[in-house]
Amino acid sequence: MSDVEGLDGSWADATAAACLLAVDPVGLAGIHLRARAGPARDRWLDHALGCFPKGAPRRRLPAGCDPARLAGGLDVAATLAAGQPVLDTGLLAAAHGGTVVVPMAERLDRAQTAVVCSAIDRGAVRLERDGFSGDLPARFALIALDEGVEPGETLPSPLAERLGLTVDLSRVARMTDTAPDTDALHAARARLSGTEIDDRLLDALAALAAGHSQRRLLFLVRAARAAAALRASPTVGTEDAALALRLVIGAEGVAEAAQQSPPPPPPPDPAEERRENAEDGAQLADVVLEAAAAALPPGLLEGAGAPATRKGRSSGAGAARTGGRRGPAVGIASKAPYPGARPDVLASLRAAAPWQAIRRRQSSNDRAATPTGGILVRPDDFRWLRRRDQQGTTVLFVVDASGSAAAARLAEAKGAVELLLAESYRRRDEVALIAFRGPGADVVLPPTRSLVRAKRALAALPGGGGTPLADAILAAGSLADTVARSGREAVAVFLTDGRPNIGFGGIQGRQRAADDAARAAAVFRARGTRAVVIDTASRPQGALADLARRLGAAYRPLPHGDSRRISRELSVHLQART
Amino acid sequence: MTYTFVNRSGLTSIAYPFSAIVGQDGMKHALMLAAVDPTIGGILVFGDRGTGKSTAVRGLARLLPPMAVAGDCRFNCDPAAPARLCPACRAGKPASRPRKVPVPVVDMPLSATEDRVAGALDLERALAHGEKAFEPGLLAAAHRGFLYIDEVNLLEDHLVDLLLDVAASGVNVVERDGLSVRHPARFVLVGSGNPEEGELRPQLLDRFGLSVEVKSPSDIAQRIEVVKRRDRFDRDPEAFAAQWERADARLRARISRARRQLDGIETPDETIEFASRLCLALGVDGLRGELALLRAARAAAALDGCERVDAAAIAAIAPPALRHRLRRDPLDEAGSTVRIERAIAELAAR
Repeated sequence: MSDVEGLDGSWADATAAACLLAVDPVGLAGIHLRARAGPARDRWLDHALGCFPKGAPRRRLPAGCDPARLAGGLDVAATLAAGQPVLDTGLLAAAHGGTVVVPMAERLDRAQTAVVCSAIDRGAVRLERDGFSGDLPARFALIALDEGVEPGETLPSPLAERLGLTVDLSRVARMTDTAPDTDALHAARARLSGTEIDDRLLDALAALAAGHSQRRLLFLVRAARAAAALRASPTVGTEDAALALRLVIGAEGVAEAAQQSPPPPPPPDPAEERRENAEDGAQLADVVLEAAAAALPPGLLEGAGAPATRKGRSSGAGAARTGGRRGPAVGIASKAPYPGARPDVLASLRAAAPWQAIRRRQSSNDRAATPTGGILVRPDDFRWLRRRDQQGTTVLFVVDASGSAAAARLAEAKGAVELLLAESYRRRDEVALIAFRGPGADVVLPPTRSLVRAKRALAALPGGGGTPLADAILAAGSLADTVARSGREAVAVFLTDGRPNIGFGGIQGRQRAADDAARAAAVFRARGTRAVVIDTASRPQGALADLARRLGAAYRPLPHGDSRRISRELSVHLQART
Repeated sequence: MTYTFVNRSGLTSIAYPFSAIVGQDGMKHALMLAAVDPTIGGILVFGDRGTGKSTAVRGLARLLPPMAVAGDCRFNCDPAAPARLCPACRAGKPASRPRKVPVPVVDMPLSATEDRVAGALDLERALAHGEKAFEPGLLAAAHRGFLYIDEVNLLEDHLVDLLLDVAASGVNVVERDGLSVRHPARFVLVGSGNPEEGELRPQLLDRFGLSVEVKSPSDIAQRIEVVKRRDRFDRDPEAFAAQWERADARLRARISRARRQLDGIETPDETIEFASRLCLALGVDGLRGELALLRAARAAAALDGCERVDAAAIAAIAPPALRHRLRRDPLDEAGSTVRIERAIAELAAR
């Protein structure tokens, strides 16, 4: 199974990850696989599933699987037929003792993510649905197929955090066919609990994982032990630790750790021996790091300066409101979400099912017409699906009206807003306008579809004064929150030349203003609002591109952009949304 | 189709011992305060992932002294509080001897349906025998105990409304198709979550008595200790739990003692005045903040074996009691703690 010389270790690492997961499925929880659909992924998946015992259940989540299918609930048909409650075991419980593959895992919504994460945490699905109460055992190894292409498009962070291993197939140059050695895996599983890790190596791993969460460190230790068990070694060696490091904190993580000198050893301890241990630990950390880095594809370490944002959108569905008319179902309620809503047939039947025997008895007592065989449904049974509303977009224009943005540019921005507004009639978008100049930022135009109001607000917009960019970013963020709460998606469009000179509280000074803008951008970014920064400066400078990155925004320099070009750019960007 | 139900309390019958949790003192303290005085209101635990939030809440169950329940009541009625009995207990003859049961810590999954939360028709009996019987839900199970919701900020709005309604009245009412049930439901709501996933509605935020923030430990020695203890627990849960049994027992005794002493804790007028001034200075709306502040300070004093609550005790508990009630500072949450400390310093200087 040795690679052809000169090849990177990615494929070997990728297949090793599957083996480690098969050795310690409960401890490592799962693999976050970053790869586009294709032969490489198929082959890896074949190999990975082959690592698990034959006959172990395998489940694949269908796209858009609702929480009821995941967690389980009442099987209406079987219940009515059997005359006693019959449970439809959800997908997760059905996978107990086996594997769950989640295709397009980057598109999991919050409700699905919550159910999956809770099952991983507890090793069981906590069922409190349709009259059933209890824990259904659900220990499984999860393989999340992340097909995200955009930089921010990746697994919902709660799930990514809970999966022990990460595999990236995008860098794999060549694959070698390897059949999993099931006997060796079986033996390793039996050896796992007897595999020890040396304190010094533990110190070294802790030092290397210092920037990561506590859970990463746990995974690191478990992966290293699984690797040692697989080698039939009673203790964890540096090569095991190195492999674990690459698979648990990923290539980027190793690259980052390599760039920083290892963090200081554990706090001083009066015992001399302990201090020596710590020094040893720091040296050992270097050894592990070197071993880990040696197997990385060449060129990666040089590129480590580039932002490797793994944070992602905060599970994407933040802009959703329930009680809507469209969008994916997120729950079932006994009240109509809005007047005139149609009840959901299946959910209503589920609610009616337990009452059938009682009602039949009652109606025969009443000697009323007794429909035999039919299902007796009463108004109380009606259930409605709660849907997550996604009813269009609100474009927040954040316009620099300061002195530095010359009057002509302001006019262009106004023109772009007007053009977009006209377009929004067709797309059902709303528009809002925040202007910033002088001491602060104001919402000049609250979200509206009214062309007249928008034009009036724009015409009345004065120019001149300082550039309080930080305030503008915060104002945009809080307006985006309000918009999101009303169930619409907010997109912020910043039109500025990016020369802030006023910080929070109206304090003057370029440095201060830039720092505050960066802080505000971090807050804005944490919300995950989509944004575009349009650089209207006649000679674009790097500062604004940098700020766009901090905002998590797209950056478009438009040095000579007239309003039509700005509007066209934006239309393209807005339509690109999924 | 067959299915296996494991015991209700959870799959692993052994929870990670509360006293074996490394660090996270703020969270542990807040949970113990709620155990001493449940009327403090709920506890909100917000912060980084993988910091033992769920572990602490589940470990709490083992820590609490058992409580007396009237006879075979299905609603956990307290025999010592006749005013709050459920209709069945009130109507029935003096129930059989009270029994001791562990304080319930009920886990509410996000996928729970309304009928299981509030309670509904007993499926088994309705289908098999055509009987109309009420099957108590999670709210009944949590009465006099804790209701735990992980990722509370992701809970569906209609369930949040239901919880708020019951939490405010202390009574759960189910009316459906001739089934009419009213039963007491007083519980400590413990919510945990990660603010990055979404904000909590202000109405719900205000219902929590205390809020604590948890962070991943940055100290390497502490992180290593977490890994070592977790490893020992995973390998042999029984032995690990036994090893920590004495530490847990000490905490249990401390909570029991604090509960007994709680009523005797003295709260001088100037302490109450200080609390009011503090809330006023911070612009905290309504009385809820002041009540939580005083109750938490009294519970803390009882835990520490003090006899009276002074201004310093109020100042010490103010950040968790008030942090989540301040008007939002858009910049960061740490800012609200600083604002509270500043207000305390200003009041003290006066």
